[in-house]
Amino acid sequence: MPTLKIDGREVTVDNGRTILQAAEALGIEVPTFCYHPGLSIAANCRMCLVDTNKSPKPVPACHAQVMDGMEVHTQSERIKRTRSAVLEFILLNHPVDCPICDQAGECVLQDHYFKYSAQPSRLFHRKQHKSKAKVLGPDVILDAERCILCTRCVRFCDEVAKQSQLDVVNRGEHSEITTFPGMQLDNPYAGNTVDICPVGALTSLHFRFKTRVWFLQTEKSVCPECARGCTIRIDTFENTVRRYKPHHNAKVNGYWMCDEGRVSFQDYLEGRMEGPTVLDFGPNGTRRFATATQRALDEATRALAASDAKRVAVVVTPWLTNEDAYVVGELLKGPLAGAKVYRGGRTTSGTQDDILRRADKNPNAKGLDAVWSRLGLTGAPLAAFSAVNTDTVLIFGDNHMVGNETLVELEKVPNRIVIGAFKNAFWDMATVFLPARLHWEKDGTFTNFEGVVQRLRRAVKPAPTAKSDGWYAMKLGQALGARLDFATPRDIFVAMTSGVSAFAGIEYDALGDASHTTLMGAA
Amino acid sequence: MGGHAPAPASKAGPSGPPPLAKSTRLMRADAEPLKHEAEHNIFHSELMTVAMGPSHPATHGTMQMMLTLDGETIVDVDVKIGYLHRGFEKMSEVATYNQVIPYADRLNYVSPLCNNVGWVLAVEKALGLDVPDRCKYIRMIVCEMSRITDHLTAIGAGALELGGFTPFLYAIQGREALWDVVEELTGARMTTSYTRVGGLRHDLYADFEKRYRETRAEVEKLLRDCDKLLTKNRIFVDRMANVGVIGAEDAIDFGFTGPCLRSTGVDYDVRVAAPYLHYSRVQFDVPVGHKGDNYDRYLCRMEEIHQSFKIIDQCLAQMEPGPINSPDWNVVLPPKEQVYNTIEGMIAHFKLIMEGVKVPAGEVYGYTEAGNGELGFYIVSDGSGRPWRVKCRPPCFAIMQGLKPMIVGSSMADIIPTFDTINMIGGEIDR
Repeated sequence: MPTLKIDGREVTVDNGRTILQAAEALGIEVPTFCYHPGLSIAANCRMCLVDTNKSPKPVPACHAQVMDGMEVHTQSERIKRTRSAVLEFILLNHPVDCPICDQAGECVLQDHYFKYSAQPSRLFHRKQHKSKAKVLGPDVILDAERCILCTRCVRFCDEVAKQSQLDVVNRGEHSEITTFPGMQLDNPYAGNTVDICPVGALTSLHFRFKTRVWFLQTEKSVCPECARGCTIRIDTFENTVRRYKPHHNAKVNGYWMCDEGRVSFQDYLEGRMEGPTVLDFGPNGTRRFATATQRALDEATRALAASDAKRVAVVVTPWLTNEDAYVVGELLKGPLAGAKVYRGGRTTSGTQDDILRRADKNPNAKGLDAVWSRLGLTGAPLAAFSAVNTDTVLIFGDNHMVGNETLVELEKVPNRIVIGAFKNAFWDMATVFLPARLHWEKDGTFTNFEGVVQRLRRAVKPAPTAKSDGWYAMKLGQALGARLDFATPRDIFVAMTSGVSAFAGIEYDALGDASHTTLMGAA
Repeated sequence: MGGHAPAPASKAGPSGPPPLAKSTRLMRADAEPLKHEAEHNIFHSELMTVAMGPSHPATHGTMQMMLTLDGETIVDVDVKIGYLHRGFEKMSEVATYNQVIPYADRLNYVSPLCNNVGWVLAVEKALGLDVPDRCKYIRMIVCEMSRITDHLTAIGAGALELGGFTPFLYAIQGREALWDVVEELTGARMTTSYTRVGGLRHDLYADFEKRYRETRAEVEKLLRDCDKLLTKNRIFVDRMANVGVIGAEDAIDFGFTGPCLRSTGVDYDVRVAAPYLHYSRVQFDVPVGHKGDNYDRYLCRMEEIHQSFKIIDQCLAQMEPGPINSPDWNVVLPPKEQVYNTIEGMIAHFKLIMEGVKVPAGEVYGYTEAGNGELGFYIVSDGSGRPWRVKCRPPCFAIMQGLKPMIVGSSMADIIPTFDTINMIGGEIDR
């Protein structure tokens, strides 16, 4: 356990640690470009050079290991000059692109230059020009002029995505990132190269020129596209989701997320159905018309109350949050006890790899199981749905991956109550449609396949008519005589921690930034 | 900073030799104090409450005086301010430090340049930033020009209150002549926004000195006319002398500064007591009054105009060509040719515009002698590009506290001249 001094402050760290890690432990900032905690050390940018008493020349803090008795200076005059000089070289051929660059505002180069140099240019000849807007893959575009050749993207493809697709070609000021001949940057994690690019060299095709980053509002949440549940940042502007970015979570996704998840938000931007709808069989023929939430709820209640609970079918989905699932469970335990339960949702045999992606393309299967385990509920697969002896079907969610025959079977049920968000096949068949909130429109928790409970946060303000599945379950339960009264998802979670053994001891408020990683108990 | 011609007392500073400025006792035209009418008021009548303002033609600025009158004698007054509150301090919390400068224009809008300078001096104090010599001299010049326009307005309006329309026109003519020079320099008569944190928006224009000399001659001629019309005018003196009297101790207790304090005989001027910019390098007199009445305040302002001209002359003589902005790109925007043509300038510009000048966390009080007295800005910074909290000390806020003792017991007709010599500015008092 070597002990060293950094800027006069003593610290003891494990053997084999780097100076940068020791400085981080002390809260001393050492600027870096090429260093990334999730990648191997390259030490090529020279931004992190520090003075030590163990060598006559400055050493890269990200690479140099600590030694006992080492004295490190990160603020000496020589280091200040060094940083300024490094930045001068890096900026030598950098184009004057900030006004048209997506990265401006979240650019490490801007930050470091302003903080560690702020010196005028001394360049008096033409800048070296390289390729601009070069398409590397389906979602990544390279601006080689902006590149500082830190090789983070190259290392990412080699080490994390395990598909060597990028490399640096040519020499000196002609050096440039490019794909290997005949290859594209099309690995399923390619989008991460954009995240880790410290400058605006790699930009995302789906985000390019869409929003200036300083307008974005950010909420930390969970990607719902598979059972991994990567911790993400949802960036919104004008109440519309503009992009997902992975957020570091060592227990779930590390620093990364897959491209399917990254661009998945686009699937939710179109085709929303935000109005409660009721199918009318009046004398003028069959028609749908928009109505007030209460009217639609009354209609749904009437259908449910008129049927014997045994002649009611309920379709649930692993897209329910734990809280929604709990309230739905209460409904099934109480007024609808004895109803037939089917389990929908998306495929559970999708693409899987040993990086992040899971075969189960639903976010909360594990949570649903845990919440329902005490009710003895499991639910038959939705594909096995039968309309025989069924008067009313209550369908939660509208993203069930089912074949046409199941839809036909569902449509045979006289009363079809759908709680969904989109104008799709389920809306078409609904006799009563109740608009639901999307995952980024509500608070709650998801449990990933490893039992990590994570907070879902509202990043987008939903339409006033859209309510969560749990809210509808509560209102229907109340109308049918159940005692259900929760004001917030937090209330439900608190009830769940006493009612569901798997959640015992977990505090909702503690599921915040730091403990995005609380593990579900005996699930 | 080296390379400059030896200015008088160039080594002087806060810790250097005493400043060159000296105090002079003013000469008054009246003889014995007149016994006030109030003492002879034998016609006691039923008390009457009169609301004067907030939109009264004779109160320059929106404020209300709830007067309790016994005949024509003021028994009590309740002074109410706040009609021109704009939330300067709160707005400053969401603006970058440079974005506050236009808000500062609107404090004392008769001498906006003093506010511009006062604000940036406070911010620069928090930054620990020194600006080039030329910038300091230019700031002094514009401050003194603003002081003159401020005093001319107070003097002219004071004469107008007493029916002297001609001196009012003369004073305002002089003010406008100076504001023409200000307009040529900054682009606006009042909404100047001329200073920047770390420097100025731009240098003086080519023939500024020539224009200033012409204007100075014009203003001094007008001032001589005013002086002849007012200073020894029996009617003016009778109405001003021994009216609105406040003693030195009371004035200090209320927090008076500026001409209103000096008129009571207290020799205090921030420019001398705590010299900022290069005020320790210039020679000027600090006029001091006798008894703190309207006449003393009038005389103080008249004399200070001459002294301000003297200061400007010395600044113009002492200043040399050179940069006007600090070279620190963490504070001052790079020149436009650097912004548009180099990535270095572009980044610095981007960061300064998007995030503002980052002021180290801490608190600071910056002070200047503005037209009405000590204008202070108290800034608390959390290290970001926007102030966490700003408190402005407007000089006339403290002075307005003294209005009640100054007018209670005197005649109703004395309200307006007294209110004028206090020189309350709505934009400044309400912030």
